[in-house]
Amino acid sequence: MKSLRRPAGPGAWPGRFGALFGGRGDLPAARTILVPVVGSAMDAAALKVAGEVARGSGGRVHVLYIIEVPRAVPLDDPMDFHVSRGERVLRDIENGWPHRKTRLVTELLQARQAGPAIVTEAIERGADLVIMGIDHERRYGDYTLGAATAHVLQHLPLAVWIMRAPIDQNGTR
Amino acid sequence: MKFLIMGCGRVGSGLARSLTDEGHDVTIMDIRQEAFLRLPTLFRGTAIIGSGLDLMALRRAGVEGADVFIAVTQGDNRNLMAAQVARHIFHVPRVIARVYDDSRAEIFRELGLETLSSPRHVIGLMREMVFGQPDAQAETG
Amino acid sequence: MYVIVAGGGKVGFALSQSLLANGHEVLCIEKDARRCAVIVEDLGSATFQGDCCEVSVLEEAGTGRAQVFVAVTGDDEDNLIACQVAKRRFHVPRTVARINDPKNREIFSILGVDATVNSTDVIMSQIAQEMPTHPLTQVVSLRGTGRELCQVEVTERSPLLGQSLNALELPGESEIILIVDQDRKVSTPSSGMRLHAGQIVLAVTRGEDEDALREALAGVAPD
Repeated sequence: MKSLRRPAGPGAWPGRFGALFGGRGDLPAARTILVPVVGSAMDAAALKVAGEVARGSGGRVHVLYIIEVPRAVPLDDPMDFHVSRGERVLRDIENGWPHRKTRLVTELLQARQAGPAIVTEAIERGADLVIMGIDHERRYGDYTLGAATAHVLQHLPLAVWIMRAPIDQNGTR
Repeated sequence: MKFLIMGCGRVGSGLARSLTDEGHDVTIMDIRQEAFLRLPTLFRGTAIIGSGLDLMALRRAGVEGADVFIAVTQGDNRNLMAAQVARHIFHVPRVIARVYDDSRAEIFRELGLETLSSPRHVIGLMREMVFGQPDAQAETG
Repeated sequence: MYVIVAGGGKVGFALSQSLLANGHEVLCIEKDARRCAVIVEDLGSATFQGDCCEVSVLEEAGTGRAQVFVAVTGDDEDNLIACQVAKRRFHVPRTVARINDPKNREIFSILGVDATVNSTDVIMSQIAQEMPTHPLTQVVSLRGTGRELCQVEVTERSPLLGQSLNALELPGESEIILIVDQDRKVSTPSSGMRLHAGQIVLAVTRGEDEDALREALAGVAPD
């Protein structure tokens, strides 16, 4: 997972980020936008933004649904229940895709952990932007950033946009 | 009876003291000399520096003639290894190991060791203090 | 093959890397969070933070479907208990433990660990290859047989020099299984062969006959 597309150094970022925002209107010029989805309400928000960016840049949106496979079973386990759920989520996204000219690619992936899988996929697919919709999560009575989101933010050498749902005051866990 | 105790912490030293008071023959081992400061000044048993995982040290401590071997160091795995050595290599008739992890205690109980999971007992006693009598949870410990 | 490596120190890390390179499914379990952060950079999702002796950790690690469980932490007691838990609770067919204190080899074998690797012996065999004068090195302990495979270099001092290989009277039930000549030719003992100085002999012997075998093949070292 040694990064393939890491910019030359810290100095490379402003230029790269500038290029990202050099698209039509106020939107960045990202050509391939990766959107990891989990089947939550925030998926739609992330996809809407991704669609707008791709429409503006003439790029495409790559949607990724990851099934985290417990280690008690092999990585290629059938995982029937989760596969059918993932396929349903991706099918709904395809059916509801509003853009005719903007390409949408969906992918279902089995991995041990979502975070590293998102990083690997983003790099392998040649993405230049990752957009993630997340919820406000609490654990042990305190705010927590999900493990996958934290991993992506720490390790992915690309631009990452996080969109968080409004805080649900009752939504404690 | 002849006792060999491994680990001179609070439990080990307290046990050694009460057993010698009752007239039992007690040898206690620890790898740290300062641990023996916990023993009474006029301790009538034998204190030996050495590891209960070391066959030579165990022989020196008289494991071969012991009736009971008790492992009460701070490490679950040290206790379980020493207890198995006492049981399967020196054939000590009774071998007891203190283990903090209950699930590990259970596995080795099946392997013929007497294991004591202290958290489980403390939980049982606390419940008893609150609810007044031994309940099902404490009984299973 | 699914292999679990308990312990992510230098040994566990290098072992995991080489198993992964050989195409195996690997999970390296390491207790220390900071060490995990280091090895995850290379091992990726083959890293797992937890105590390898804890039943719940081994459960989550999928130990039940592992074919091999290797315990290579720096503490012998942890390696023993981890292997025993893997074997008794999760029925892993093959458990291998690293032994840091050579004295524990016998204990581990009596208590049911399938194979042990003694880092001291491994280092000794490395040294032996560097310094061909080292008389006898244990290569592998053969579990359940009370025997071990060892390597001896025949010297000028051997009392059996020049004797026919199939007529050799070796101590106990020691048996020569392979001979490496000075020109690196490898052969199994046959009637025509004789013992020469400089040959490396691989033999199976009982632990208690090790010294006698060394004397028979390498002679008694001059003071």
